[in-house]
Amino acid sequence: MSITHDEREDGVSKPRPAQRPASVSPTGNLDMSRERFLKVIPADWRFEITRPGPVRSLLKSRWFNFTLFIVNWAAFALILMSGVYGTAVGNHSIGIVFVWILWWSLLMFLLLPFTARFWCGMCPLPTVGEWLQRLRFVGKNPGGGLGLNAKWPKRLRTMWIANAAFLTVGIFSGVITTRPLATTVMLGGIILLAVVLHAVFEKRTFCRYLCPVGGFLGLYSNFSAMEIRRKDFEDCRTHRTKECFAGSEKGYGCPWLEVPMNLERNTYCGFCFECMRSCSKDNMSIRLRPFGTDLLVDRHRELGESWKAFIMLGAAGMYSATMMGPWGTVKKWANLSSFAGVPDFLKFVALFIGVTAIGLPLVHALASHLSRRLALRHDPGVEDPGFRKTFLNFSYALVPLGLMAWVAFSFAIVLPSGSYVLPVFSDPFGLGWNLFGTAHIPWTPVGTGIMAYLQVPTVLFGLAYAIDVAWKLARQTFVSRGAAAVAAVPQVVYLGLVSVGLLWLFVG
Amino acid sequence: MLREGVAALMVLAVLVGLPLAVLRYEKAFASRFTATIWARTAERGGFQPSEIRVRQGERVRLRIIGDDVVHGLLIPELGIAVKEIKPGEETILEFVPEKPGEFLFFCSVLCSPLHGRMNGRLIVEPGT
Repeated sequence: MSITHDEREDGVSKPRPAQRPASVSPTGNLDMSRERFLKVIPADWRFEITRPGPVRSLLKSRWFNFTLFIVNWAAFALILMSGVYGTAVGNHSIGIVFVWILWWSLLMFLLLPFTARFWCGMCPLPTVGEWLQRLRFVGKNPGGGLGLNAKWPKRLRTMWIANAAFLTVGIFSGVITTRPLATTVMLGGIILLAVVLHAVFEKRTFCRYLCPVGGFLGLYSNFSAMEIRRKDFEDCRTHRTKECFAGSEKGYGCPWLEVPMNLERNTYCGFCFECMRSCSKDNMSIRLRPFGTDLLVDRHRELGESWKAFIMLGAAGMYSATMMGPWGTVKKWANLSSFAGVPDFLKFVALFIGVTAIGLPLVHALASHLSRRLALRHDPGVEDPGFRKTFLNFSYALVPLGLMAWVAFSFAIVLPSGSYVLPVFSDPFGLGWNLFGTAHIPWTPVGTGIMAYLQVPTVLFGLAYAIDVAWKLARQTFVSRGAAAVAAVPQVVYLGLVSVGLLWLFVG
Repeated sequence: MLREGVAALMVLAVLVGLPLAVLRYEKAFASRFTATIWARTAERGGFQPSEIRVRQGERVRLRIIGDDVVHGLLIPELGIAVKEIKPGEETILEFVPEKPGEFLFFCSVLCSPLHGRMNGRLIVEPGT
């Protein structure tokens, strides 16, 4: 008896007995042993970083995540305080500087591209709810904790709610990223919501389906250069106790409602390392891999993720236009400085949603329609994948471009404003303290003269990777190489035009 | 359970101890000054507190924290002028009031539509 994924009609993996021939690849007709990213990096290259005993022991320790939680809670306690205590001036408040400059930059430059959802493994926001749910801070509770452990409704097991949550946060970004009180209210609201959700629903339901940050971390972690996967399929196949899903005395069953031994994509792997702890066969590993590997997995794709890709790419453009562009009017609309500004703010809401959730998907739909038409005309014998599958598959090519657009956008945050971090270390509430002697370091933009030289290659790298992924997706969708080649043309043109738009916003 | 106890102490230290330590540190820090004045536009409350009591002949150290836009502080009758109180920065104003009485202080930078209402009173009580 072996264990494999179900078809995820309800959106959540469940272990079930099945025959799974080793020849069935999650990437369909793409043979990963022959694929190369950017014609250079072998798609099946892997390097296991958990092979050394000390690394493995460290990650399997139940103290590992807890220590990260505590360190982050120390920062978050001050961040939450800053909304109601100390200065309301954003660039002198830990609430703004640590969250929207330091954390955001770490997330975009380091954590997300290289470590997938490792942030989720140290994020303090759901911890209070989880501690209550387990009635344990560190250890494994052999009995039950608090909470109803209800199952999340099947119809809601998608990324749509996370999309709506991100859009909600996104449209208020002009307020949230500049006012400490707004940041505190948002983070406090998320913590409160997480506690309620943990009390009612099982495990990390909140993180999986509702967290506004978790949605884009999930999608973009499919591009990341790190993964947690089983080592040996046979070990899992012959192992009847399914500890990674059901839990063992050493670890909880996957809090993210996944079946870790069958993981094929990073989307819902929260890097909590519980599967490494619970597996008595020591069969889970963390591996480095080429960027973009999971984007080629032809299973579990869903329209909610497609829209996440549109929203994120569109939002990168919208933020660039709003925060750094020459359109002061749009910035004023977004700022919502008083109740009198509500009508203007509604214009910004309409513009933001119009561009990210309606306009970009329409352009993508047009490109997908053309791809399909051209492919079927070029090779009438090719199996028609249908519009929906064409639309869905090609949407994953936006992920490399979207992530790189965010990295490029983040240069425009960290280079001019990164120096605010040092004074805030010493004076987190703008009260005139000087705890570590750095309070009087003046605001010093760093490297703004070379910012364009960083942003342009970043966007071009994203474009190159997006085209490469689009080409692979075209072959996956249409099988016939000739049909795939013509199907890729509208995608390349569309990705190119979006990139030109981004470059114009960044350096035009 | 020892492990959980240690973890609980760490959680308490961070979630309760750290904020309390912040409040305590600020209390000690603020004691170096005669008063701390928050400079905000009149729409957001103006100078807070708007009334400060000091004693004639005793050195006064005021910590003035700019909390929104650039402000100034002028006490014409005592010849005191702080030209610029920058947002997010603290300005230390030191002086010895030589004469008793009530003195108006006000913002000297046109800071908001209600700029004219951004003022307060410095009350110098006679020295012993």
